[in-house]
Amino acid sequence: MEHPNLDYIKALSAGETAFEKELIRIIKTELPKEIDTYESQLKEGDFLSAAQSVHKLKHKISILGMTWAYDLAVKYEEDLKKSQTRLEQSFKDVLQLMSRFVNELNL
Amino acid sequence: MKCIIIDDEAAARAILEHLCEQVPDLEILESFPNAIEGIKFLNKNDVDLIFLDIHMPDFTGFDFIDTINNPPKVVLTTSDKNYAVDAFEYDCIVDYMVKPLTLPRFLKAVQKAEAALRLNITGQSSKAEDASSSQEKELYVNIDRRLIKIDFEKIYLIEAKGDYIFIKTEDSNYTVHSTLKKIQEKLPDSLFLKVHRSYIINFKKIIDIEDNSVLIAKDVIPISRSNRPELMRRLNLL
Repeated sequence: MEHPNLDYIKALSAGETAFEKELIRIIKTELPKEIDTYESQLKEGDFLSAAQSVHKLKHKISILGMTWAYDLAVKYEEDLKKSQTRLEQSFKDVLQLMSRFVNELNL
Repeated sequence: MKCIIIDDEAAARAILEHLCEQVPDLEILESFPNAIEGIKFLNKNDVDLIFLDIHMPDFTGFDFIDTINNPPKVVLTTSDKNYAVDAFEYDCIVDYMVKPLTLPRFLKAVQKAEAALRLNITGQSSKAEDASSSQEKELYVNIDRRLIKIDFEKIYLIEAKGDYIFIKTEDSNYTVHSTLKKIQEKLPDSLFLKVHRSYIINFKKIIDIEDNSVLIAKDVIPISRSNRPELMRRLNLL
């Protein structure tokens, strides 16, 4: 599986480290909350809301440069709208990878 | 351009704010995490452009546009390509950007917004010019529930009688429920002059002036002492 990276953030910042730090700080705060929301929605069987959370998580996936995981999230979001969860584990792996990467980032 | 950002995701707002800062002519007035706060702000402030997320809980970007009267220009920002067709239904939407946003794509969207705003301004001013040029040429009067167009150039005399005025033209005469004062406000000063408390004349139609009267077509009109100096001033006397 491809690894998260900061390529997009670096390209966007064009060397402005203050912006890089601020964006990483926001992601460190926002990502765990979004994952928590998604997991509780899934647990409650609220697949439509879970699809909306996956939609939001897609942006974080793209910010962290995970192209393959982004495509997976697109499919998973569509599946959830039909109450299908066959990609749940793969998506969970993606979230774990992202969380680990983000947690290890230094500000 | 004055802009606001509406996106429920803090990271998305931070990215948009950073991109806006790269464009000197773009001023971010405020960023909002939901559409409701954006609506409240729009009710009190002038905004040229909104960067608007589609997917927001409770109130989507499209709900937002449907709610506000006369929306400013909108650039949609979304992680979903599927709504591009819906976006074409709205005149105010000038572009549709799929996240993650990049500077080149952002600049393109800003250029589109600027062009759309310029077009609006040009359109408005040309409409105003058309209206003003039409106001310089003609007048519509209400007669028996019909609005009748009268060319200024054809009017030679307007006479007040009680609550009515008689408008005399080369082709016909019209009786209109109005006052000389009201019609004088609508007439171009370059053509018309009040020569008496009961008469306004088109001084291009003067045939001759004798003592305190003026001959217009076949009508001899009195000139009041107080109006005579202005009439004499306007004449190209030899």
